[in-house]
Amino acid sequence: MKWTFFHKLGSPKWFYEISGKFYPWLLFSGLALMFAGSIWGLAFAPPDYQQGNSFRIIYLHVPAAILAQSCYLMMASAALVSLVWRMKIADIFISSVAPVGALFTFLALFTGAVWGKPTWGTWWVWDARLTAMLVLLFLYFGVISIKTAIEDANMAAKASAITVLVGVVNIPIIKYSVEWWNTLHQPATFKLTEKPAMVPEMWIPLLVMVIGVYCFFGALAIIRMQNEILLRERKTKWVRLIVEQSGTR
Amino acid sequence: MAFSTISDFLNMDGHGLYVWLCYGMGIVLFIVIYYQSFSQRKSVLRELAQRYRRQQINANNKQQTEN
Repeated sequence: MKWTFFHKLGSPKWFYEISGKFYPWLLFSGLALMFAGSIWGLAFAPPDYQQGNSFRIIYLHVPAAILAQSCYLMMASAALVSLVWRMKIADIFISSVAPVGALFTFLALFTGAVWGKPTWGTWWVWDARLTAMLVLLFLYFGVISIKTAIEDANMAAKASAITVLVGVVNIPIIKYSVEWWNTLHQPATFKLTEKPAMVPEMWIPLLVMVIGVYCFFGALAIIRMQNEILLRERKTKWVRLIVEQSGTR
Repeated sequence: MAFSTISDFLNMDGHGLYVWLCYGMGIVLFIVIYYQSFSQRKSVLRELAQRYRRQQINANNKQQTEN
């Protein structure tokens, strides 16, 4: 394997250029899939035999929860890369997507609470899955506040990377909480090793939503990372050229 | 189609409020985060443009005083 590839990947300029090409496609497919998936889930999927129509919240709740955890895992991988190889782009990724991850976590908690009311009869219970998810939200807040509180960029990168890595223990706790403890929360909808317990009319729109939300996340990550790159690389010629060409005054 | 009329669809057998509250929150949050990321770009570009202009002015002044 050529290591030049690895170095190129870490170059902010290269990333800025290549990601700009992916951005419109990700945004478009994300919006289209989310639109199609939610219409399909809201109007066309059959109602659940136990929960009736309130189960349609699943089409927002599950994608948001998957993204919330997946975003954290991506941040943890980036944290490792940032600590070991001091790759700038990995730290830029962490700063850029932490607020997005927090937003998805909040959305998962909110839709979960609203779904809990008609299903369990309560907005909130302190059970394992819900509590672990709340901890995830606070982990995101922690990373964001470390990033804003520490002025020295190298220190901030190190401190936030370590925080992200320590917090990663929470992810398996969220995942297995429904199996380890007795909880009100229902077990996982999708498992890699088994067929879904739902009929295809129910899970296909959910899959469409999950893919759509991933694409949307990708598009958001690209805009935010590019913003961060422009700021951090402001002393370079190529950034200056981009600013001049944008015609901003 | 799982519903026969529009009002059935909105009502969702009495669960409409919960379902629409969730989707409403989802749409609002997605618009907010997208708009925030986009306006961040504008403010970054503006800040950098100003910074470069200032640098240019400073460099010019320095040259004048030296001459």
